[in-house]
Amino acid sequence: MEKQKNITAIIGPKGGVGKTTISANLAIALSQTGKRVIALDLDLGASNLHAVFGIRDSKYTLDDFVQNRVKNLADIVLDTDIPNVRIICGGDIPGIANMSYQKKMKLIRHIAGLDGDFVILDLAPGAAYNVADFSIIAQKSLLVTTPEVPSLMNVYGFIKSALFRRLNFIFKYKKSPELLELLETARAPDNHPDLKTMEGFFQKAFEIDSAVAASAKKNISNFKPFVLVNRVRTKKDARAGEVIQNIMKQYLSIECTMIMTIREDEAVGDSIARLKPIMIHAPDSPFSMDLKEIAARLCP
Amino acid sequence: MPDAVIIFSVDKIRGGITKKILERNGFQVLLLNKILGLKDRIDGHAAATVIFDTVHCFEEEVRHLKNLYGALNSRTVILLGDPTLTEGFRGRGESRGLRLSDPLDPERILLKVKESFLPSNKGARNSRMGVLEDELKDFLKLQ
Repeated sequence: MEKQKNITAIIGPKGGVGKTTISANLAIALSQTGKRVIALDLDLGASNLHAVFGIRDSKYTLDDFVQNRVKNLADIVLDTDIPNVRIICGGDIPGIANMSYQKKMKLIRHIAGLDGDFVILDLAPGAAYNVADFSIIAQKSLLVTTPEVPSLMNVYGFIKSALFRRLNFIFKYKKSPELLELLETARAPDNHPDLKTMEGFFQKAFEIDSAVAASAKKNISNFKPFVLVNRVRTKKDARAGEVIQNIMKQYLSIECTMIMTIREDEAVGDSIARLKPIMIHAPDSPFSMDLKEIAARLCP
Repeated sequence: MPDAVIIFSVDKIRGGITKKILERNGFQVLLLNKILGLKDRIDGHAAATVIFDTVHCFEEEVRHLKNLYGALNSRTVILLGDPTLTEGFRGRGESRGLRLSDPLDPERILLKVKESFLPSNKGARNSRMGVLEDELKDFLKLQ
């Protein structure tokens, strides 16, 4: 089975930023460009992607895969009323959010094997290891934030957490205990201001083991997220994306691929109340227009 | 009623690219490429945002655009082109953020146009709390 090449993770470290609404409607926007899209609800234990599509009773959910009632993830892909959009509904069995490492790896393998032009992963909020691990398998990461400081803080915290997790894996794999120790020190840099930035960290890392440090630096340099600033109402709001980009570049050496804004739109709340995706209910609304533009940017 | 934008560009390809991305995002766009009568066309149009693309303009055209730039106080004007040239456009309290240098970046132009139609923050004065980057660095303990 050919490995999925267009996995896009929708990451919204702070809850309530509009991640699920964006996931569902972006799937529709992509489908309207002719792509076959699968939207997968990975907000384990709090799934609601199906509700945005207006699906009340789902025949299968991730619970069926996790509990081995079906053999393949592809067996629980469901059609929707929207051409070219299919969905895998999330799981809600107690403990699913803390599934075992083996189950998680199995799920990841099956996600990679799904048959579609795009697979959209609607991830849970927060910076738990599961969220970071699911985001690593994506070729594109869309970081959803709102313009407020608390949301921007969560985005920064998530990226930093994901970077540290990735570096931890690399240094363990390369069997470099000294670099692991340096990484541990860098987690709390108050006593080590030279480790406050990723640049400073790598300067020290190169002194310890230049080959491993170079490999790690190259690995994380491939992470270039998209930043989506949702619910933009004012000019200041619109600049929030540039602000977080500057801070991530300065302190985490992360370059964003693109920053895009999504305008605040009353039609969103109206669509949610009607349990109809806004791309269907109000296709010419500012939110829908902005999603169409994002979809155009994501298409190769 | 969609938000309206006027683009002046002597380069039909550049103007066409910019027009296309703005129209795709719901803006109503008037593309002009002749300096003669430009002021009258702008005055007679409801567009709140005007884009002056200075690339490939003759000296006389640039001079004309500079004069017009200072007169369009009720509208947002976005300048495209070489910074050494666009820096010479004066007469407004415009921030540098509305000057975009080459290469032509339609997505950035779109971002700036969308931003131009958003309301300004009321009460965001020069206080420390009004500076988002400083606030964020403070909360993240990066300062």
